[in-house]
Amino acid sequence: MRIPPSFYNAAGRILLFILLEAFCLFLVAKNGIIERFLLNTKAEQLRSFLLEKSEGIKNYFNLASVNADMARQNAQLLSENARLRNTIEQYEGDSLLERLTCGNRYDSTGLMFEYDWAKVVKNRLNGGHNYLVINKGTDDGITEDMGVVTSCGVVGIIRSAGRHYSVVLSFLNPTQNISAKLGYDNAYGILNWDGHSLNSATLSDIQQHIPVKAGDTVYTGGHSALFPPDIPLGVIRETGFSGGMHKSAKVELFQDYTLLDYVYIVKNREKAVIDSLSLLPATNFADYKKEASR
Amino acid sequence: MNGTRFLLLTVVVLLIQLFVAEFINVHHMLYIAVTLLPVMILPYRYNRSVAMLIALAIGLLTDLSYDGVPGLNAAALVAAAFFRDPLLNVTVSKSARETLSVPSPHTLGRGRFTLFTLLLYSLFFIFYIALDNVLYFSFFYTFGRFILNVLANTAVMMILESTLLRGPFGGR
Repeated sequence: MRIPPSFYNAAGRILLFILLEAFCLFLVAKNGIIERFLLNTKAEQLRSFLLEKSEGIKNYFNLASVNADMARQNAQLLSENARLRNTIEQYEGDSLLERLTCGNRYDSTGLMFEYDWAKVVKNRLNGGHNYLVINKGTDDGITEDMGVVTSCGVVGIIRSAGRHYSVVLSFLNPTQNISAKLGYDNAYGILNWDGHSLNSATLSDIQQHIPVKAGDTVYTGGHSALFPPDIPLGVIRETGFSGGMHKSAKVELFQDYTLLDYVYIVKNREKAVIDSLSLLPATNFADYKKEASR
Repeated sequence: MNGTRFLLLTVVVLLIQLFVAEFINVHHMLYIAVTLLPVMILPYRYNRSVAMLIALAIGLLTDLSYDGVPGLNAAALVAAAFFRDPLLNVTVSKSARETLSVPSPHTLGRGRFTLFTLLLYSLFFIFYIALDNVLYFSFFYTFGRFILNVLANTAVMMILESTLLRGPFGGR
């Protein structure tokens, strides 16, 4: 039987369609590679130029809301300051330093995390894959996998860093899970965006025996080298069960992701050590500990 | 429309897309995608393989210039280019197809052109939302987002078509 040429044409078109879609799928799945490429080539100069121009225009129209947001952040910082002052009064100077520094693990400043500020020059909030571009890069000591926060919550993680700009994978993404805790009770769970509303997230994997009620505040858990503990994230609005074994809760986030303007980049001084430990095979861990204690 | 005009129209549409994406943010669920216009107005029975490659190029340019998720617009535009002719076959009667050159309100009639645009956007957003929303699937949210985007984009495209194609790029 002779196959008509139109069959080959149709089959070729379908094959091309499948190949092109597969290529696009690959790009979506591996979008960090493209960002890294863009940030580290000449394309960055054009991108920076366009971002700065559009930033200037946006700033002009956004001044009122920026001021309001800064005033709100100031108020929160004042409250935080008052709370910390109360805490300080409860402890002797030496024991407080001991608490802050966990003995002699840290250097003379006693701080594990350092912060650097950056301005958000692009904030993509459109659909399920959201990201930001900030005006700090490798020249400012920014590297991939650093956390980004504000006083109102977690913003995201640096996905790729160019010399002057970095791309932040927003918390509003399907792959972002944050270790979170309820109040100061050390009841831990995992917080991730619910994918629908910009100001709500789901706290899951809470042990059944932990009392969870609407109105409880959720903080960063500190079980991560990326974010410091005790950053307020949101407040619980509804509770329920997930998978029958654990509790879950709907959390209203404090951070308004449409108003992001200035953010803080979290630099963990001990991240390299933590990362190297997590790469060690379990059998070598005892040897490593012995070596480290010498 | 000759090659130079088509190229100019594509550049203008990309600039409009950049402007809309940067400055007009109505709701995070709503995505205005005007880059479908060059794919829509390719001549009827244009070589589909070439149409898909043109769509891929426009999609990647859109993704890389502003969107941040390379492949998202490209995947949806390639699908639109692939299914464009079958959708035209559904929309237009057999007799009208014999004389059809470029799909437009002038050649199809306002009603059929709107229907064609609606169907093409439906297809575009099936691919776009499926890729963007795959890990957050919730029927009502996804369906709501789909309907909102298809209707809003069809309306925007009608406005764009009447301003661009009957204005500076109107020559047929």
